[in-house]
Amino acid sequence: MKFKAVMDNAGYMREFLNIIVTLSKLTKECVINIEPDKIHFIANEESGTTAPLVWVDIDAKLYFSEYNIELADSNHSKIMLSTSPANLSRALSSLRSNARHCKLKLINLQFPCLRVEVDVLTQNSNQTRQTAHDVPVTVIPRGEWDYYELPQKPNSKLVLNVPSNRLMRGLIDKIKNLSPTVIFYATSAGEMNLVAETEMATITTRYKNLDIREINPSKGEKNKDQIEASCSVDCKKTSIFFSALQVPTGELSCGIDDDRLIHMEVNIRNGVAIHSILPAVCM
Amino acid sequence: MFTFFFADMKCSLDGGNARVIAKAIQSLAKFGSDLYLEADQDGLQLRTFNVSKSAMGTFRFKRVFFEHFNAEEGSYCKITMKAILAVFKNMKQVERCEIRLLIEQSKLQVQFKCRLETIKNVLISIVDEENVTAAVSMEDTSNVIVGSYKLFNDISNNFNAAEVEMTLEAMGNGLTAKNYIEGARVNDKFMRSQLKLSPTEFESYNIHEESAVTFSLKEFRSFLLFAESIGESITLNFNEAGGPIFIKICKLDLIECTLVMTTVYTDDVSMYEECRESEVKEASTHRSFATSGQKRKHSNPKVIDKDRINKKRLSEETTLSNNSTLFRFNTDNNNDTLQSVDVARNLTQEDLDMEDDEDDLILAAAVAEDNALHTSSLPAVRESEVFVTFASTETNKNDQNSDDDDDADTIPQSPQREHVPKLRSIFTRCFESTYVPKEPSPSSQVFVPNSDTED
Repeated sequence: MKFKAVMDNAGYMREFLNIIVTLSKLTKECVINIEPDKIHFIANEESGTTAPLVWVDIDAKLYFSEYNIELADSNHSKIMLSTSPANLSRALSSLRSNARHCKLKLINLQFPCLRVEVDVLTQNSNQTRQTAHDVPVTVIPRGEWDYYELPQKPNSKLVLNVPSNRLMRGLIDKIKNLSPTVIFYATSAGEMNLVAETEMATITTRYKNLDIREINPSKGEKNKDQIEASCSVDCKKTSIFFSALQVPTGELSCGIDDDRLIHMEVNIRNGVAIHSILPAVCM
Repeated sequence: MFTFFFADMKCSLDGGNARVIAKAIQSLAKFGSDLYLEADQDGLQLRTFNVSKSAMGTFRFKRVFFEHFNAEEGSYCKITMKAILAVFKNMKQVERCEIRLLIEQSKLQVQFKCRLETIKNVLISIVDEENVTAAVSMEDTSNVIVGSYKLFNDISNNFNAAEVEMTLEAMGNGLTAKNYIEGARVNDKFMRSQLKLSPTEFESYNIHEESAVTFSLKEFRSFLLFAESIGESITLNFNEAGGPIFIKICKLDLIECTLVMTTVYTDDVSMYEECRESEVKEASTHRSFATSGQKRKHSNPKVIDKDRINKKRLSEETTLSNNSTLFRFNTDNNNDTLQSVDVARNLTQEDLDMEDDEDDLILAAAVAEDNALHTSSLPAVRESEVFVTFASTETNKNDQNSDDDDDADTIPQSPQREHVPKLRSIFTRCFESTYVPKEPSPSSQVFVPNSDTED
């Protein structure tokens, strides 16, 4: 199997680095799913840690000016790798300065590696410096793909566009010290409340006039004027997700499914999105 | 209120220069534990070695660097780095500094005149009147590279802070800095990094003899730190791999710093064919994932079952509760495979029974005697005896040697470490070959009787 991809847009390269840095803050080992037209990253720390499940969709055509994938045989529809995002972000760190282009290539050098080649323009002269890092990867064999399936985007009952993640991050960080859980409550009127309850007080933060992206009312609620959804999630998990986000505030949407889960989606641009699922917790 | 002794060396300098000396000491302290101080007519010299004596750092401050400088020919001393580092730690308030070497009192006196008319006076004990020199010269180095500290900082920052070594491949058309040796094997999951620089980035780039030198990063980084603090460029002088590399920093006619380091000798590095680039195959990595159940994402009931079975099997193998064995007991009673170690174990019972406090010498003699006995006749295996076959590996080795004679020119691959599940064993010490039963064990000798009078 072969894989080669080239990036040469400075903006996209910085975005790509930001995504990898985000992942490195969430997990030690992430899965890379290379498909003929898309790349997915899945970060799922084993249960027991507080990091939430996060996955990233990247439209390959958008980020990469050259994108070649050669599969092992017809049984294989994609290449599945597992690697350390910390290593990968170190290898890509030179994208932050004046990078000209970046090449990713799957090679075998004693063990499988993802070679990251970055050409950097030096500051004082017009010379380019070539850096190459061989990030060790593990090829996930076909038989084990099932364990690393890409999570399904859930069909939430109510999906709203939420204010900038910086506001949310600060708020959740404060709530984290008060209560172990936070309740997300939203109505179809475009209101979303974040409720934290302690023995002494109940703290509610209200966001009004939010855009509704989607409504999937349950059967019993179809005739109601106002549809409500609420879910209580682990505060620490939520906080980890928000503080890990290294991407500039794009469009953040929050899907709430009654007492099941909260689905966060950060749209970095069309075709590039970070998803996270925060499972509901019982009070 | 200071007593003035006759000083073998006396120098004074202003606060700014004192801070430079402080920086030099801080840089040397990163790898050396002793500081050798030497003063002569030309100036003051600070020198240190790393633990393995594979690197030597020298800072030479010329006479003009000081306001006053007075030294007899060849006054030198050795002091501990810890002591002098503590003295030169906080230099913000220092306005003037005086250093005196008092050989008679075997003390090094450092006096700081600080702000607000404060005077700090420190006496550091001289550990030894010792001086060291290294018999290396950089006269005949064929490769000379000069570059700004920024450039070398970029090179150093390209690698992890934990990286131990760096390889510089100096070619006519550019320099490549790597954290690995080309063709050599690296640890599993090691990230190889390299940085290619063109000759034009350097202030001067003269390579007469293309070579690749590998040296320690720690000492190099400590010198880099000093170069950055005085804002000077760095000169590298080196020949081929295995020879010394000289790293030099100069500031006008005032300071001259040299770091001499050994480089890795290429013949000591084994090269591997598998370290050539090739296409990725799925099968090559099968094992690591097949064995690691913990990385699984979705807990599939079937998988759990399989896992459980695996785990069960593992526990069966590692416990002594059933018939399976933890050690391979030598039930064949084969004379050839028995070693003195086993005999020593046999002795334990008898010896402990006797309870006599004879010396180890007698025991050793007994071991030897018994050993000789054993080769001819062996006592029947008692139930309590455990024969651990240490010898089997040795016989294997002998077999291999005879085989190897045929294809002597092809170097066999070093044996791969088998993946053995880690198991906790009890009383491991007793099964080690170095175990002598008479060795002091917690129960053998009573230094203080039990305070508890239960038994």
